Amino acid sequence: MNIIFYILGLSIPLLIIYWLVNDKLKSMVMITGTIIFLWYISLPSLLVLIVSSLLIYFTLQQFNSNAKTIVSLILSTAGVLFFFKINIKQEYISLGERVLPFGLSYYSFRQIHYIFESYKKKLPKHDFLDFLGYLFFLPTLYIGPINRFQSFLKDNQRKRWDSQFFSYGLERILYGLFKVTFLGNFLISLKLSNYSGNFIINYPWLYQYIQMVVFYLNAYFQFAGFSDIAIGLSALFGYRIMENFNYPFVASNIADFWKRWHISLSEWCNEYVFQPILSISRSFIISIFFSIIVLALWHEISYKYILWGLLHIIALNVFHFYNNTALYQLLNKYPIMQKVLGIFITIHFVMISFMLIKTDDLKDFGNFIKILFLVS
Amino acid sequence: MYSWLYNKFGNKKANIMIIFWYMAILFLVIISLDTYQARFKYGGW
Repeated sequence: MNIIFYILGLSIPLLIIYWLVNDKLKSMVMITGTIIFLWYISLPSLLVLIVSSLLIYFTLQQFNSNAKTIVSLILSTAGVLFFFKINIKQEYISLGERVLPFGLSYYSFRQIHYIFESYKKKLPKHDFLDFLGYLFFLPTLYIGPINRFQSFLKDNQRKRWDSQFFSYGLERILYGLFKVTFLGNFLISLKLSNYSGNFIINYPWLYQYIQMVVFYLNAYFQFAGFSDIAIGLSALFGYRIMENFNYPFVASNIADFWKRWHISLSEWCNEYVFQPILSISRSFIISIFFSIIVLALWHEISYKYILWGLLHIIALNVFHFYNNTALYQLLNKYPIMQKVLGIFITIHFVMISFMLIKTDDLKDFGNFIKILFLVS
Repeated sequence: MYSWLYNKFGNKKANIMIIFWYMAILFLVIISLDTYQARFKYGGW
């Protein structure tokens, strides 16, 4: 059974206790629930989360205005993520087989966000329990979004029962499950993928095209579905969590795409990589290079993801320069045509770039391109 | 969803329609549960 069902199952008794106890104990209930869950799923994951959280909180309590301490904390948090990512042997997991500590990719970025904001003195007044509640929040532990501490704290202090919001949460979970199971797994991965088999001999380019669509749509429905479940589950506990997707297939350019796909991660990279580097270097190219490389390596440390990142860097730069060309000014006179053309080019670029991740190696990707564009 | 139905059809009809809507989605989720497996390859989290 998938881990998401363990989270949903554990959430039922947790929710009953959570809404029965008084406000002061609610955070404790959530933290305890997460600890029990991690203890059962993977004890090392629990230890990594506890040790890193304690280290960050108490170091910041002592030296939160010392730049050297801040840099060391960020580097050590990123280093832990890098260490586990580079050692990962399998990309997906079943219970008990996980190599990467559970949820590390998400909470390490939350921790870095907390360190940055603490240094900038932008964090509202809070205590240790608020901090732990943020990192030990079960609904978003597994698959994000990388929510922000400030908005979390607002909900954490409110904790008001709202039957309409609770019902909204249940609806989001249902839609999330629908996206993952019916749309992603059944309709796209099974039915559409099998249907494409009809074209494998006579129209290999069409077969490859459908396979590319299958991979992109499946990734979207799975990821957006899991995000819906996380957002819905958070709503059941009274928390409003930021959206992670906003119809990425209608993005009219690549910059727009990154404002619609995995929003919490791209905003994180914008805030903590792009903006700081831009303020130092004053160079769009350098800033976009580092932020997309961080974004790519966050997914997986491999040459395929670096190449995928480079493709997006090139596309973002091309779009940046295209904005200042006469062609852009000319097409601007025909906004509908520009929009349609933009959507067509963006979605196809994104799908082709995603195939770089799906294919086994560069040779495989080269063969895919040749077949798709009827070169062979 | 409910507010849209409520505005379009009124309270009584919306209550019935929303129940059917949720039941239909739940049904589709349940029938596709047997295809539920790790088909998702999108990096190591």
